[in-house]
Amino acid sequence: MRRLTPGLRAWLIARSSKEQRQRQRRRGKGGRYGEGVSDRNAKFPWLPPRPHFVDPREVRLVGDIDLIHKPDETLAQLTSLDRIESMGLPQRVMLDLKQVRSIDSAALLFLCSRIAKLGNRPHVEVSGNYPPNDSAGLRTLRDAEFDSFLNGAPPIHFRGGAKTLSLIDGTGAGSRLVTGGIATRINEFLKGRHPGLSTEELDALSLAVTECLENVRVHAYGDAKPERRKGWYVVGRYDESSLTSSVAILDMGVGIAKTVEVRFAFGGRFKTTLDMVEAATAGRVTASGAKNRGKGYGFLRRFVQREQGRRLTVMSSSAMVTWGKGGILEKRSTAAFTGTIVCLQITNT
Amino acid sequence: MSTIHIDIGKEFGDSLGPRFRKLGDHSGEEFRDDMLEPAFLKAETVVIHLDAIKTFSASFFEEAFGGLARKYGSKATLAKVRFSAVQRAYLIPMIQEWMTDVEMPA
Repeated sequence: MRRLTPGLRAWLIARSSKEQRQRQRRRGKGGRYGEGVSDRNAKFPWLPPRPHFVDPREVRLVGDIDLIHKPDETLAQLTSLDRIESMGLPQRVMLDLKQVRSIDSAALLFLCSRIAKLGNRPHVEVSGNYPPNDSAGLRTLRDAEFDSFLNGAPPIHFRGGAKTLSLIDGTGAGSRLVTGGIATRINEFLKGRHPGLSTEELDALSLAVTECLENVRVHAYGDAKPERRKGWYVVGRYDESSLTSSVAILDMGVGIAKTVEVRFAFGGRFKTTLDMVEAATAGRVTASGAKNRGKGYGFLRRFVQREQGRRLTVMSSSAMVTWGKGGILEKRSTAAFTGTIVCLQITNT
Repeated sequence: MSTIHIDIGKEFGDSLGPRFRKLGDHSGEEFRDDMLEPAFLKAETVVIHLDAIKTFSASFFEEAFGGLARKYGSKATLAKVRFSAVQRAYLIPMIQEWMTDVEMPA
Protein backbone atom coordinates (compact mmCIF):
# COMPACT_ATOMS: atom_id res chain seq x y z
CA MET A 1 0.00 0.00 0.00
CA ARG A 2 1.18 3.46 -0.80
CA ARG A 3 2.67 5.31 2.14
CA LEU A 4 0.57 8.26 3.25
CA THR A 5 2.90 11.17 3.89
CA PRO A 6 1.60 14.28 5.64
CA GLY A 7 1.90 16.23 2.39
CA LEU A 8 -0.01 13.63 0.37
CA ARG A 9 -2.65 13.41 3.07
CA ALA A 10 -3.17 17.19 3.02
CA TRP A 11 -3.36 17.14 -0.77
CA LEU A 12 -5.93 14.34 -0.73
CA ILE A 13 -8.08 16.16 1.80
CA ALA A 14 -7.92 19.37 -0.21
CA ARG A 15 -8.77 17.52 -3.43
CA SER A 16 -11.71 15.71 -1.89
CA SER A 17 -13.13 18.96 -0.53
CA LYS A 18 -12.67 20.65 -3.89
CA GLU A 19 -14.38 17.80 -5.73
CA GLN A 20 -17.21 17.89 -3.28
CA ARG A 21 -17.71 21.62 -3.78
CA GLN A 22 -17.61 21.20 -7.56
CA ARG A 23 -20.16 18.41 -7.39
CA GLN A 24 -22.46 20.56 -5.32
CA ARG A 25 -22.10 23.48 -7.69
CA ARG A 26 -22.91 21.25 -10.67
CA ARG A 27 -26.04 20.02 -8.99
CA GLY A 28 -27.12 23.57 -8.26
CA LYS A 29 -27.60 22.81 -4.61
CA GLY A 30 -26.06 20.68 -1.96
CA GLY A 31 -26.73 17.02 -1.37
CA ARG A 32 -28.68 15.66 1.51
CA TYR A 33 -27.26 15.34 4.95
CA GLY A 34 -24.39 12.87 5.16
CA GLU A 35 -24.32 12.15 1.42
CA GLY A 36 -21.03 13.88 0.80
CA VAL A 37 -19.53 12.35 3.92
CA SER A 38 -20.45 8.82 2.84
CA ASP A 39 -19.02 9.47 -0.65
CA ARG A 40 -15.80 10.76 0.80
CA ASN A 41 -15.40 7.95 3.30
CA ALA A 42 -15.95 5.34 0.58
CA LYS A 43 -13.56 7.03 -1.82
CA PHE A 44 -10.69 7.45 0.63
CA PRO A 45 -10.83 4.41 2.91
CA TRP A 46 -7.24 4.92 4.10
CA LEU A 47 -8.11 8.28 5.61
CA PRO A 48 -9.67 8.45 9.06
CA PRO A 49 -13.45 8.35 8.53
CA ARG A 50 -15.13 11.69 8.88
CA PRO A 51 -17.95 11.68 11.43
CA HIS A 52 -21.47 11.97 10.07
CA PHE A 53 -22.30 14.94 12.20
CA VAL A 54 -20.84 17.23 14.74
CA ASP A 55 -22.67 17.76 18.04
CA PRO A 56 -26.38 18.11 17.34
CA ARG A 57 -27.78 21.58 17.77
CA GLU A 58 -30.91 21.51 19.83
CA VAL A 59 -33.58 24.16 19.43
CA ARG A 60 -36.29 24.02 22.02
CA LEU A 61 -39.53 25.94 21.64
CA VAL A 62 -41.72 26.40 24.69
CA GLY A 63 -45.12 27.79 25.64
CA ASP A 64 -47.52 29.60 23.32
CA ILE A 65 -45.82 30.23 19.99
CA ASP A 66 -47.94 33.19 18.94
CA LEU A 67 -46.34 35.53 16.44
CA ILE A 68 -49.31 37.86 16.15
CA HIS A 69 -50.03 38.48 19.83
CA LYS A 70 -46.58 37.88 21.35
CA PRO A 71 -44.18 38.84 18.56
CA ASP A 72 -41.15 39.63 20.71
CA GLU A 73 -41.08 36.42 22.73
CA THR A 74 -42.02 34.30 19.72
CA LEU A 75 -39.45 35.85 17.38
CA ALA A 76 -36.80 35.42 20.06
CA GLN A 77 -37.51 31.69 19.93
CA LEU A 78 -38.08 31.26 16.21
CA THR A 79 -35.16 33.32 14.95
CA SER A 80 -32.81 30.94 16.79
CA LEU A 81 -33.33 28.71 13.73
CA ASP A 82 -32.01 31.51 11.50
CA ARG A 83 -28.82 31.68 13.51
CA ILE A 84 -27.79 28.08 12.94
CA GLU A 85 -24.70 27.95 10.79
CA SER A 86 -23.28 24.59 9.87
CA MET A 87 -19.92 26.08 8.77
CA GLY A 88 -19.77 23.48 6.04
CA LEU A 89 -19.69 20.60 8.50
CA PRO A 90 -22.38 17.96 8.68
CA GLN A 91 -24.90 19.23 11.18
CA ARG A 92 -27.87 17.72 12.86
CA VAL A 93 -30.53 20.07 14.19
CA MET A 94 -32.94 18.72 16.76
CA LEU A 95 -36.17 20.63 17.14
CA ASP A 96 -37.79 19.99 20.48
CA LEU A 97 -41.48 20.94 20.52
CA LYS A 98 -42.48 18.92 23.57
CA GLN A 99 -43.19 21.99 25.62
CA VAL A 100 -45.21 23.88 23.01
CA ARG A 101 -48.76 24.59 24.20
CA SER A 102 -50.09 26.22 21.05
CA ILE A 103 -48.89 27.69 17.79
CA ASP A 104 -50.58 30.30 15.60
CA SER A 105 -50.78 30.32 11.80
CA ALA A 106 -48.05 32.89 11.25
CA ALA A 107 -45.63 31.11 13.59
CA LEU A 108 -46.43 27.80 11.93
CA LEU A 109 -45.45 29.21 8.53
CA PHE A 110 -42.33 30.74 10.01
CA LEU A 111 -41.36 27.40 11.46
CA CYS A 112 -42.08 25.51 8.23
CA SER A 113 -40.05 27.95 6.16
CA ARG A 114 -37.06 27.78 8.49
CA ILE A 115 -37.10 24.00 8.70
CA ALA A 116 -37.26 23.78 4.91
CA LYS A 117 -34.47 26.33 4.59
CA LEU A 118 -32.23 24.45 7.01
CA GLY A 119 -33.07 21.09 5.46
CA ASN A 120 -32.11 22.35 2.01
CA ARG A 121 -28.58 23.12 3.12
CA PRO A 122 -25.96 20.53 2.26
CA HIS A 123 -25.17 18.18 5.12
CA VAL A 124 -27.84 19.53 7.44
CA GLU A 125 -30.45 17.18 8.80
CA VAL A 126 -33.40 18.49 10.75
CA SER A 127 -35.35 16.24 13.02
CA GLY A 128 -37.68 16.86 15.89
CA ASN A 129 -40.39 15.65 18.14
CA TYR A 130 -43.54 16.66 19.88
CA PRO A 131 -45.63 14.73 22.35
CA PRO A 132 -48.67 12.80 21.09
CA ASN A 133 -51.26 14.53 23.26
CA ASP A 134 -54.28 16.34 21.93
CA SER A 135 -53.72 19.94 22.94
CA ALA A 136 -54.83 22.54 20.42
CA GLY A 137 -51.31 23.59 19.53
CA LEU A 138 -50.07 20.10 18.86
CA ARG A 139 -53.15 19.11 16.91
CA THR A 140 -52.19 21.99 14.62
CA LEU A 141 -48.76 20.51 14.14
CA ARG A 142 -50.22 17.14 13.26
CA ASP A 143 -52.73 18.70 10.89
CA ALA A 144 -49.88 20.50 9.19
CA GLU A 145 -48.26 17.09 8.71
CA PHE A 146 -45.36 18.33 10.69
CA ASP A 147 -43.86 14.88 10.81
CA SER A 148 -43.28 15.22 7.09
CA PHE A 149 -41.54 18.54 7.60
CA LEU A 150 -39.35 17.04 10.24
CA ASN A 151 -38.52 14.13 7.97
CA GLY A 152 -37.50 16.45 5.15
CA ALA A 153 -40.59 15.87 2.98
CA PRO A 154 -42.83 18.90 3.30
CA PRO A 155 -46.43 18.31 2.23
CA ILE A 156 -47.32 19.87 -1.08
CA HIS A 157 -50.87 21.04 -1.52
CA PHE A 158 -51.96 19.25 1.60
CA ARG A 159 -55.68 19.50 2.21
CA GLY A 160 -57.23 18.74 5.54
CA GLY A 161 -60.23 16.44 5.69
CA ALA A 162 -61.81 16.91 9.07
CA LYS A 163 -58.77 18.89 10.04
CA THR A 164 -58.23 22.39 11.20
CA LEU A 165 -55.95 23.84 8.60
CA SER A 166 -54.92 23.72 4.97
CA LEU A 167 -51.27 24.39 4.27
CA ILE A 168 -49.85 25.06 0.83
CA ASP A 169 -46.13 24.98 0.28
CA GLY A 170 -45.07 27.10 -2.68
CA THR A 171 -41.34 26.71 -2.23
CA GLY A 172 -41.15 24.11 -4.98
CA ALA A 173 -43.03 26.36 -7.35
CA GLY A 174 -40.78 29.33 -6.65
CA SER A 175 -42.78 32.48 -7.00
CA ARG A 176 -43.83 31.86 -10.59
CA LEU A 177 -46.86 29.72 -9.97
CA VAL A 178 -49.30 32.10 -8.43
CA THR A 179 -52.85 31.57 -9.53
CA GLY A 180 -56.31 32.17 -8.26
CA GLY A 181 -56.54 28.42 -7.75
CA ILE A 182 -54.65 28.67 -4.48
CA ALA A 183 -57.05 31.24 -3.08
CA THR A 184 -59.97 29.08 -4.25
CA ARG A 185 -58.54 26.06 -2.45
CA ILE A 186 -58.12 27.97 0.82
CA ASN A 187 -61.55 29.52 0.36
CA GLU A 188 -63.25 26.15 -0.11
CA PHE A 189 -61.41 24.71 2.87
CA LEU A 190 -62.53 27.50 5.20
CA LYS A 191 -66.07 27.45 3.83
CA GLY A 192 -66.21 23.74 4.61
CA ARG A 193 -64.98 24.29 8.16
CA HIS A 194 -67.22 27.28 8.84
CA PRO A 195 -70.29 27.45 6.58
CA GLY A 196 -71.47 30.59 8.41
CA LEU A 197 -68.85 32.80 6.78
CA SER A 198 -70.46 35.44 4.56
CA THR A 199 -69.49 35.94 0.91
CA GLU A 200 -67.72 39.15 1.82
CA GLU A 201 -65.73 37.44 4.58
CA LEU A 202 -64.74 34.59 2.29
CA ASP A 203 -63.83 37.10 -0.42
CA ALA A 204 -61.62 39.00 2.02
CA LEU A 205 -59.82 35.82 3.05
CA SER A 206 -59.17 34.76 -0.52
CA LEU A 207 -58.30 38.33 -1.54
CA ALA A 208 -55.63 38.40 1.17
CA VAL A 209 -54.14 35.28 -0.42
CA THR A 210 -54.25 36.53 -4.02
CA GLU A 211 -52.95 40.01 -3.20
CA CYS A 212 -50.10 38.73 -1.07
CA LEU A 213 -49.08 36.11 -3.61
CA GLU A 214 -49.09 38.75 -6.31
CA ASN A 215 -46.85 40.90 -4.13
CA VAL A 216 -44.58 37.89 -3.65
CA ARG A 217 -44.31 37.42 -7.37
CA VAL A 218 -43.80 41.05 -8.28
CA HIS A 219 -41.89 42.48 -5.31
CA ALA A 220 -40.63 39.98 -2.74
CA TYR A 221 -37.67 38.61 -4.62
CA GLY A 222 -36.87 41.67 -6.70
CA ASP A 223 -34.73 40.78 -9.69
CA ALA A 224 -33.43 37.56 -8.13
CA LYS A 225 -32.96 34.63 -10.47
CA PRO A 226 -35.68 31.96 -10.24
CA GLU A 227 -33.39 29.54 -8.40
CA ARG A 228 -32.69 32.16 -5.74
CA ARG A 229 -36.39 32.70 -5.09
CA LYS A 230 -37.38 30.89 -1.97
CA GLY A 231 -41.09 30.69 -2.61
CA TRP A 232 -43.93 31.13 -0.18
CA TYR A 233 -46.27 29.37 2.22
CA VAL A 234 -49.99 29.86 2.66
CA VAL A 235 -52.16 28.49 5.42
CA GLY A 236 -55.91 28.69 5.99
CA ARG A 237 -57.07 27.77 9.45
CA TYR A 238 -60.24 27.52 11.46
CA ASP A 239 -60.11 27.52 15.23
CA GLU A 240 -63.34 26.03 16.57
CA SER A 241 -62.80 27.17 20.14
CA SER A 242 -62.58 30.86 19.25
CA LEU A 243 -64.64 30.69 16.01
CA THR A 244 -61.74 32.32 14.22
CA SER A 245 -61.01 31.82 10.54
CA SER A 246 -57.65 33.01 9.38
CA VAL A 247 -55.24 32.98 6.50
CA ALA A 248 -51.53 33.67 6.72
CA ILE A 249 -49.09 34.14 3.89
CA LEU A 250 -45.32 34.10 4.27
CA ASP A 251 -42.47 34.79 1.88
CA MET A 252 -38.73 34.95 2.49
CA GLY A 253 -38.10 37.96 0.28
CA VAL A 254 -36.64 41.42 0.78
CA GLY A 255 -39.47 42.86 2.86
CA ILE A 256 -41.77 45.84 2.40
CA ALA A 257 -39.33 48.55 3.50
CA LYS A 258 -36.74 47.44 0.99
CA THR A 259 -39.37 47.46 -1.76
CA VAL A 260 -40.55 51.01 -1.13
CA GLU A 261 -37.35 52.60 0.17
CA VAL A 262 -35.92 52.87 -3.36
CA ARG A 263 -38.42 55.61 -4.05
CA PHE A 264 -37.63 57.53 -0.88
CA ALA A 265 -33.93 56.87 -0.50
CA PHE A 266 -33.03 60.52 -1.03
CA GLY A 267 -36.15 62.17 0.26
CA GLY A 268 -35.79 61.27 3.92
CA ARG A 269 -39.55 61.00 4.19
CA PHE A 270 -39.46 58.01 6.54
CA LYS A 271 -37.22 57.84 9.55
CA THR A 272 -37.70 54.17 10.41
CA THR A 273 -38.74 50.97 8.69
CA LEU A 274 -41.78 50.96 10.98
CA ASP A 275 -42.88 54.25 9.39
CA MET A 276 -42.39 52.73 5.95
CA VAL A 277 -44.36 49.58 6.70
CA GLU A 278 -47.13 51.62 8.31
CA ALA A 279 -47.33 53.91 5.27
CA ALA A 280 -47.32 50.95 2.89
CA THR A 281 -50.15 49.17 4.73
CA ALA A 282 -52.07 52.46 4.92
CA GLY A 283 -51.81 52.80 1.14
CA ARG A 284 -49.77 56.03 1.35
CA VAL A 285 -46.86 54.55 -0.57
CA THR A 286 -46.55 51.86 -3.21
CA ALA A 287 -43.54 50.28 -4.84
CA SER A 288 -44.20 51.97 -8.17
CA GLY A 289 -45.53 55.20 -6.72
CA ALA A 290 -48.60 54.97 -8.97
CA LYS A 291 -51.87 56.06 -7.40
CA ASN A 292 -53.80 53.16 -8.89
CA ARG A 293 -51.74 50.51 -7.04
CA GLY A 294 -52.14 49.03 -3.58
CA LYS A 295 -55.93 48.63 -3.87
CA GLY A 296 -55.82 45.15 -2.37
CA TYR A 297 -54.46 46.30 0.98
CA GLY A 298 -56.97 49.15 0.83
CA PHE A 299 -59.81 46.66 0.44
CA LEU A 300 -58.57 44.55 3.37
CA ARG A 301 -57.96 47.61 5.54
CA ARG A 302 -61.47 48.85 5.05
CA PHE A 303 -62.85 45.38 5.65
CA VAL A 304 -61.19 45.02 9.07
CA GLN A 305 -61.89 48.61 10.07
CA ARG A 306 -65.64 48.20 9.73
CA GLU A 307 -66.31 45.56 12.39
CA GLN A 308 -64.99 44.15 15.63
CA GLY A 309 -63.25 40.78 15.56
CA ARG A 310 -61.31 41.39 12.34
CA ARG A 311 -57.56 41.90 12.32
CA LEU A 312 -55.04 42.40 9.56
CA THR A 313 -51.45 42.00 10.69
CA VAL A 314 -48.43 42.70 8.53
CA MET A 315 -44.94 41.80 9.72
CA SER A 316 -41.98 42.79 7.60
CA SER A 317 -38.65 44.60 7.75
CA SER A 318 -38.43 44.47 11.57
CA ALA A 319 -41.84 46.05 11.94
CA MET A 320 -45.34 44.90 12.73
CA VAL A 321 -48.58 46.77 12.07
CA THR A 322 -52.03 45.48 13.02
CA TRP A 323 -55.20 47.01 11.62
CA GLY A 324 -58.61 46.46 13.16
CA LYS A 325 -61.83 48.27 13.92
CA GLY A 326 -61.26 51.99 13.73
CA GLY A 327 -57.71 51.91 12.36
CA ILE A 328 -54.31 50.81 13.57
CA LEU A 329 -54.61 48.69 16.73
CA GLU A 330 -50.93 48.18 17.27
CA LYS A 331 -47.60 49.00 15.69
CA ARG A 332 -44.18 48.10 16.95
CA SER A 333 -40.64 47.36 15.95
CA THR A 334 -39.64 43.72 16.13
CA ALA A 335 -36.53 41.61 15.93
CA ALA A 336 -35.07 41.37 12.45
CA PHE A 337 -36.16 38.46 10.29
CA THR A 338 -36.20 37.71 6.59
CA GLY A 339 -39.39 38.05 4.63
CA THR A 340 -42.95 39.22 5.08
CA ILE A 341 -45.89 37.67 6.90
CA VAL A 342 -49.48 38.81 6.40
CA CYS A 343 -52.28 37.39 8.53
CA LEU A 344 -56.00 38.11 8.27
CA GLN A 345 -58.19 36.88 11.13
CA ILE A 346 -61.98 36.94 11.30
CA THR A 347 -63.68 36.04 14.56
CA ASN A 348 -67.43 35.40 14.39
CA THR A 349 -69.23 35.95 17.65
CA MET B 1 -80.96 51.22 -26.94
CA SER B 2 -78.50 48.31 -26.97
CA THR B 3 -77.30 46.65 -23.81
CA ILE B 4 -74.60 44.02 -23.49
CA HIS B 5 -74.50 41.80 -20.44
CA ILE B 6 -71.20 40.27 -19.36
CA ASP B 7 -71.18 37.68 -16.61
CA ILE B 8 -67.49 37.72 -15.69
CA GLY B 9 -67.56 34.45 -13.72
CA LYS B 10 -69.29 32.50 -16.49
CA GLU B 11 -67.97 34.16 -19.63
CA PHE B 12 -64.42 35.08 -18.64
CA GLY B 13 -63.33 32.96 -15.68
CA ASP B 14 -64.43 32.34 -12.11
CA SER B 15 -60.92 32.78 -10.66
CA LEU B 16 -59.85 36.21 -11.76
CA GLY B 17 -56.16 36.76 -12.24
CA PRO B 18 -53.63 39.56 -11.79
CA ARG B 19 -53.45 43.05 -13.25
CA PHE B 20 -51.47 42.46 -16.43
CA ARG B 21 -51.43 39.77 -19.11
CA LYS B 22 -47.73 39.14 -18.56
CA LEU B 23 -48.39 38.20 -14.93
CA GLY B 24 -50.82 35.39 -15.64
CA ASP B 25 -54.09 34.16 -17.12
CA HIS B 26 -57.45 35.88 -16.73
CA SER B 27 -55.85 39.23 -16.07
CA GLY B 28 -57.64 42.56 -15.79
CA GLU B 29 -55.84 43.80 -18.89
CA GLU B 30 -57.02 40.76 -20.85
CA PHE B 31 -60.62 41.23 -19.75
CA ARG B 32 -60.58 44.94 -20.56
CA ASP B 33 -59.01 44.54 -24.00
CA ASP B 34 -60.85 41.43 -25.13
CA MET B 35 -64.31 41.82 -23.64
CA LEU B 36 -65.03 45.07 -21.86
CA GLU B 37 -63.70 47.63 -24.31
CA PRO B 38 -65.29 46.06 -27.42
CA ALA B 39 -68.61 45.90 -25.58
CA PHE B 40 -68.15 49.46 -24.33
CA LEU B 41 -67.60 50.72 -27.87
CA LYS B 42 -70.43 48.68 -29.34
CA ALA B 43 -73.28 49.08 -26.90
CA GLU B 44 -74.87 51.99 -25.15
CA THR B 45 -74.89 50.21 -21.82
CA VAL B 46 -72.70 47.40 -20.52
CA VAL B 47 -73.95 45.45 -17.51
CA ILE B 48 -71.34 43.51 -15.59
CA HIS B 49 -72.55 40.60 -13.44
CA LEU B 50 -70.30 39.84 -10.48
CA ASP B 51 -71.95 37.02 -8.52
CA ALA B 52 -70.49 34.01 -10.37
CA ILE B 53 -66.91 34.92 -9.48
CA LYS B 54 -65.11 32.63 -7.03
CA THR B 55 -61.94 34.59 -6.33
CA PHE B 56 -60.64 37.92 -7.52
CA SER B 57 -57.87 40.42 -6.95
CA ALA B 58 -58.38 44.13 -6.47
CA SER B 59 -55.83 44.84 -9.18
CA PHE B 60 -57.94 42.90 -11.68
CA PHE B 61 -60.88 45.29 -11.21
CA GLU B 62 -58.68 48.35 -11.02
CA GLU B 63 -56.94 47.51 -14.27
CA ALA B 64 -60.12 46.50 -16.09
CA PHE B 65 -62.49 49.27 -15.02
CA GLY B 66 -60.02 51.89 -13.80
CA GLY B 67 -58.04 51.30 -16.99
CA LEU B 68 -61.14 51.88 -19.10
CA ALA B 69 -61.90 55.05 -17.15
CA ARG B 70 -58.35 56.27 -17.70
CA LYS B 71 -58.80 55.83 -21.44
CA TYR B 72 -62.34 57.16 -21.95
CA GLY B 73 -62.81 59.33 -18.87
CA SER B 74 -64.52 58.55 -15.58
CA LYS B 75 -67.78 60.28 -16.37
CA ALA B 76 -68.39 58.55 -19.69
CA THR B 77 -67.36 55.17 -18.32
CA LEU B 78 -69.49 55.39 -15.19
CA ALA B 79 -72.47 56.45 -17.27
CA LYS B 80 -72.13 53.48 -19.58
CA VAL B 81 -70.87 50.62 -17.39
CA ARG B 82 -73.32 49.28 -14.81
CA PHE B 83 -72.91 46.50 -12.31
CA SER B 84 -75.25 43.80 -11.12
CA ALA B 85 -74.69 41.71 -7.99
CA VAL B 86 -76.65 40.35 -5.06
CA GLN B 87 -74.07 38.51 -2.97
CA ARG B 88 -71.26 40.80 -4.00
CA ALA B 89 -73.15 44.08 -3.92
CA TYR B 90 -70.45 45.40 -1.59
CA LEU B 91 -68.00 45.37 -4.50
CA ILE B 92 -69.97 47.81 -6.65
CA PRO B 93 -69.26 51.10 -4.79
CA MET B 94 -65.64 50.09 -4.44
CA ILE B 95 -65.16 49.48 -8.15
CA GLN B 96 -67.03 52.66 -8.99
CA GLU B 97 -64.76 54.56 -6.62
CA TRP B 98 -61.72 53.16 -8.39
CA MET B 99 -63.24 54.28 -11.70
CA THR B 100 -63.80 57.77 -10.34
CA ASP B 101 -60.43 58.02 -8.64
CA VAL B 102 -58.28 57.68 -11.73
CA GLU B 103 -55.41 59.79 -12.93
CA MET B 104 -55.90 60.73 -16.54
CA PRO B 105 -52.78 60.34 -18.66
CA ALA B 106 -51.10 63.66 -19.45
